[in-house]
Amino acid sequence: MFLQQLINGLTLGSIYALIAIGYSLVFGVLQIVNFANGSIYMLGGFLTLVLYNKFRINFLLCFALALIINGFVGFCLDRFALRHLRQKKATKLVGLITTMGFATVIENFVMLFFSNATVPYPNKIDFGSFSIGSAVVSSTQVIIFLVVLVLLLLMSWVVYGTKVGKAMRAVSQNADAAKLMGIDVNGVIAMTFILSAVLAGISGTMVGMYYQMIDFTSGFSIGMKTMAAAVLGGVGSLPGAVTGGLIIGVVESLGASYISSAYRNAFAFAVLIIVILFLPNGLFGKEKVTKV
Amino acid sequence: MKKLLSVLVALTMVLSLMAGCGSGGDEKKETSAPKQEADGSASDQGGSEKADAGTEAAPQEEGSQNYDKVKIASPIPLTGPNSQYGMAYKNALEMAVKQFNESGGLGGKEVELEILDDQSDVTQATNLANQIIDDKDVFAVVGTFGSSVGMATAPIYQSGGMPLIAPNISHQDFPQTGDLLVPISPTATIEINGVADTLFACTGEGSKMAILYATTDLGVNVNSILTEKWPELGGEIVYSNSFVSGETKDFSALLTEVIALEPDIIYTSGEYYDVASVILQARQLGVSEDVIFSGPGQCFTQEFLDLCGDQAYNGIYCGTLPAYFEDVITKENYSDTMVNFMTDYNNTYSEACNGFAGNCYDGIMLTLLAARKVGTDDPKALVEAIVSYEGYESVSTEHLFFSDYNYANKSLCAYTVKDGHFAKVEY
Repeated sequence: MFLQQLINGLTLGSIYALIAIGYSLVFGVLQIVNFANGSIYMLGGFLTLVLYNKFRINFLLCFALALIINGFVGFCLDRFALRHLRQKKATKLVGLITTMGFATVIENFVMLFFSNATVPYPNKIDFGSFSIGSAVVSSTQVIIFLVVLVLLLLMSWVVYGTKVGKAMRAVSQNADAAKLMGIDVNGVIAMTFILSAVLAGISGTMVGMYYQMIDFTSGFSIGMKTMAAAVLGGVGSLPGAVTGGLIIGVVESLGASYISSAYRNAFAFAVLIIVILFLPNGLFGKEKVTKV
Repeated sequence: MKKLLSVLVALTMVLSLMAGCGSGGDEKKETSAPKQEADGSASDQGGSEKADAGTEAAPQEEGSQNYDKVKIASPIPLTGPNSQYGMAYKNALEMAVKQFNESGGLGGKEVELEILDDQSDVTQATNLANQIIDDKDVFAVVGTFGSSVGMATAPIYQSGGMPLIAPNISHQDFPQTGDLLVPISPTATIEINGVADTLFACTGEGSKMAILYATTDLGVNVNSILTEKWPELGGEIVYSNSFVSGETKDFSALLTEVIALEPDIIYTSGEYYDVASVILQARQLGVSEDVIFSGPGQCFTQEFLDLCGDQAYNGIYCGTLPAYFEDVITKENYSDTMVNFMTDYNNTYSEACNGFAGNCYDGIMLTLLAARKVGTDDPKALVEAIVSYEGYESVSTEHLFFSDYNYANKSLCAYTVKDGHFAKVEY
């Protein structure tokens, strides 16, 4: 049974990890927490579903279309809200509250135009299941694992192996210096938001298929937990976000099963609080030296 | 910066946890709207010819009764958060009064229906209650939605000598608050005891039950009654755990444990999406095909059927209200009265018939028939006539009766899902 709980937890955790990467990237370049990430995740799931139900064409095509739209929404968040704030030299807090507002807009949009009820989601990656010992593993879980793994490697390559990634890291170290070196800072930031929204959209669709249902409120709690995952791992660090996501997922599953399910959210946040007490920068975060 | 962030994050999380607890509280709206006289004309557009739902027999043994008062007041939420239920009430009330008047009214006098908007607001409802008990023409109140408004205004009606017939208050303490109060819904305790009996009749001696319940008042109540009653009947409770309805999407941790215990029946107390989640996720975790899934009346919706798809087989869903679907409420399964009521309602109004309308119709029709019998002068006699009324054919259940003076009882409706449709379970 422990094995089964571990598998359940790892599935949940790998989804958290994927969204947490988006958080980490945005935090890295802008030093603000993107509260809209949870809503963008939910929107991504809904977009795939709505496109699929509307046009009844290839699911993968709808999925791809949804990701493009989702990326565009992420771009809009930066282009039409946050960029203005940066130009006006508003404090980080204003940006953070703006993302909260953006989240409300997305949620209400989905509620008004898509559905205010819980709606069924087709599971297109269900090819049966197999057992390891007493534990049952479904193909959905395996595919989620694999997709997350591939995306992690891809993101690592983007951030650490490409010019765009180099530009991102440069902006996150010092935006002004990066600008002086000829880096298009706004372009890099926009790129980061698009990447983060696309990752969230992929997660949203996969979770929709995993649970076979979706509703417009589902972004909030997962947004909170993935933020916890990102902070736990050390904000700005990719391996940190992944580890954080997995830890939160597993702790939540084990806590829910061995202690009480009513407090499952509390377990996730309790881990966060404990880690932050001892490692204020998270597991993989580097201490930042503030030079005067 | 990061320290600040972590503090902020921690704070947000604490807040979000608290927000979870706080929601669903009283939805208050500033009030000032005066009473609204309902205009009956709006709803009469449908072409329902057979006004008689078959409920009322010919006017009975009248003559000696006194029908000085001919007005029924109905404080219901026509605006505000619960307005959709208020509209169902309004439709049912107008339909019932129209039919009653067409069948002769009270000794030839037409019954007058006064619909007032309480906005589901306790203050507004209290004002209305005081206004109603001062109205010399009103002989009974049929209305109030939900326990918070109902429990707040019940003492006013009781002390004002005004019978209150409440279609949808299932609060445990409502019936004992006064002898002029009549709920049409069974209390939660009565309902869950009925659910236990029904499920036991379906599963048999020694069956093992696992309970998953939402951390709401109702969920906790369901859990405590079932854990007590099931072993008394001769079954066994093998598992019981709670979840936060609406927030918990992942039941795999709980279900892994449940499946390892090999129960015969898994009862989920929560909203329709919780029950659907449990079914779908349990099937993914390889639950035995023989396990019976069970849930409350909240599942009797099209949304539930849509969510479950072809996975809802081998289920028993029980509630005090029937599933008002055209393929379920048929003359083979239910009384003509019930079928006629649903057909009339669906033909007359644009919204589909539901349990709120059914309960409300029963409430007012029973009141009117009792008034025809005993007159409208004596509130106590009227209530006694309601709770002891013989031969009333309910539109919201197969059998409606009262026990312990004013505790409503209904025969339970149990359904299974076959090929994406609800089908009645005989037990």
